[in-house]
Amino acid sequence: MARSLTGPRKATGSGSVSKATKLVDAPRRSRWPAMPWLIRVCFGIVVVMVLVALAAPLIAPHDPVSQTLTARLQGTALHADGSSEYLLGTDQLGRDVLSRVIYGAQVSLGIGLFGMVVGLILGSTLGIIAGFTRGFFDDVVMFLVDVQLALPFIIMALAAIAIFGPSLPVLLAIVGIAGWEGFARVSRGMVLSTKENAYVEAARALGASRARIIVKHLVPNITAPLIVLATLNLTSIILLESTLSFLGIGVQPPMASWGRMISEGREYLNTAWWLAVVPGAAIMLITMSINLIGDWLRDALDPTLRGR
Amino acid sequence: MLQFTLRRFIRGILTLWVVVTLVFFGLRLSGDPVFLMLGDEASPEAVTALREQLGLEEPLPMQYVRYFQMVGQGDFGNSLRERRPVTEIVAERLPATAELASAAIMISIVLGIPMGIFAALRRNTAVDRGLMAIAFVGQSAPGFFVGIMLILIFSMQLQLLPSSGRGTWQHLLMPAIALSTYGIASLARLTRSAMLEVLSKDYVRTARAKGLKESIVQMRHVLRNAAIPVITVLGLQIGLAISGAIVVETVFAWPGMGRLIIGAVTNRDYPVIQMAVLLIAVSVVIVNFIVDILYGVLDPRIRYQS
Repeated sequence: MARSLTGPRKATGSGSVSKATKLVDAPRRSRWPAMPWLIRVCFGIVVVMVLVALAAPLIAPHDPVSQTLTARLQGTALHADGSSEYLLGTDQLGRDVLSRVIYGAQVSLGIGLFGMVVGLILGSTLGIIAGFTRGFFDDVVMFLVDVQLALPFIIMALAAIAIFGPSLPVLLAIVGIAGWEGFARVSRGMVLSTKENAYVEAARALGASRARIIVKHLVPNITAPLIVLATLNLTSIILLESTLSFLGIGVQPPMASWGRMISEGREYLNTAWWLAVVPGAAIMLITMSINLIGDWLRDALDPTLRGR
Repeated sequence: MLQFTLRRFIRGILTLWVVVTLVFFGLRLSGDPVFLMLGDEASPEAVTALREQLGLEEPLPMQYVRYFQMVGQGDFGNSLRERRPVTEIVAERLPATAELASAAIMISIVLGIPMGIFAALRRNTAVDRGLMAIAFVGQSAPGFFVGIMLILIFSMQLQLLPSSGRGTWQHLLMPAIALSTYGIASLARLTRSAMLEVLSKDYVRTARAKGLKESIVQMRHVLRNAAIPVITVLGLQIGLAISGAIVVETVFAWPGMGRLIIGAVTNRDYPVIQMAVLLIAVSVVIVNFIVDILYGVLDPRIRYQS
């Protein structure tokens, strides 16, 4: 009963709800509110960026790591010394900036997505189990959550890189751990409140196993806030990767990474500002788009998360 | 209240213990810093001598116990690179970071909170939308990129401010702004939403209904209640400012802890890393502790709940 007050948001008993809706012939209410134009644009940007990242080998005009030393620091196509061969100019080693930005999308989005998925799986699994079983396991998980929340993550990332050296596997491990605590906290909290519902008790009375209760009754009810959190987490991981790469301890050369491109480009701000500005703009464009989508999703799916 | 304070205090201590332990064991289990310092072709004698000098010959649990004793005495050992006490090196760098971080926090508070209040009081107007759009951009921009854009505009193009170094307020201005961008943006957004939430409360309507002046309603009823979430986030901001300083210092060649840490990470100078990480952890834990207590004082519900 308590659940029904929150509206026809989720699964349990949805069959009867839709039947009832049919009977009174009410207009079907969409789960998704209308999408403002700005959010459409943001979705468009993200889709284009993902396509660019996926099709990088097909659309990049040059090899992102091959150096043409005779064509170093060429201007963009708009500059007098630029050419249509290098639309966004070349860097200090004569590499095509446009191709590096395109491949950089692959690195940035790939690592961001990887970190987000690992954090989501790790955090929500631990959170759900903690919330469901309580006791010692819950205490340990929540203590670890507290520790991670108490410290700026970049400090831990730096310590880890100092220990294991900068490399791609280390970076992937770091971004995987980044943000798990948020997923754990939210999923645990949701499980704690959801498992008190009558339908969970009913399932238990019918002899459903713990695993079944979790998969069939708890998980469907906690996905909405997790999706929102995952979206917002994606941008923090993209920013984390670019920050570490900017500091020279993230993605290692010759791989193209936006953060690293900015760091290399800042040496030439006076003569070739676009070397740093173009990848920086790419980072801002993607993080802003995803953040806006995340905010919109939060308001659309889960008003209780608002303002956090 | 005493029990509440004590619990928060113990939690802070436990957090620090976990951090120190993780860093200590991690660094020692991962590789041999002696080879890093002497190179792969060092003579075995030199290696043994250095290992003994650094106390690396003892079993790990012994090193661990000894390390805690050393930390207790404020002795963090010598930097592997510079071969002088870590405390000395850190003491040289700390004031610069403290200066930068406190300037950034001041700017965040002075700009962010009024921005949020202003936007909330003019909800759904062009002013509100404009301010929130700016805040949104600020929240999505990485600090190092903001720093580079500032250098490009104010140092390279307009030649108004120095792009690196420390000393005058002109040196401080750009790094502090770059570091505070995120803080300004998130404080503005949070203050706005906290204000809006309080503005819709019954007691605000009651206050207005009984004929109080709008300024009194806003000061006494709205601002005071909206302050609670803002103070919590302010605590987080201090942690973020300290960690953000690491990156911003690199951009502006600011001679603080950030550059020290990055150098130590690259050279695997573990005494420096340990002290730096511990110092940052201690400051963040202390800030969080103060915020928790303040939070409990402001909102009695919180201390009774826990």
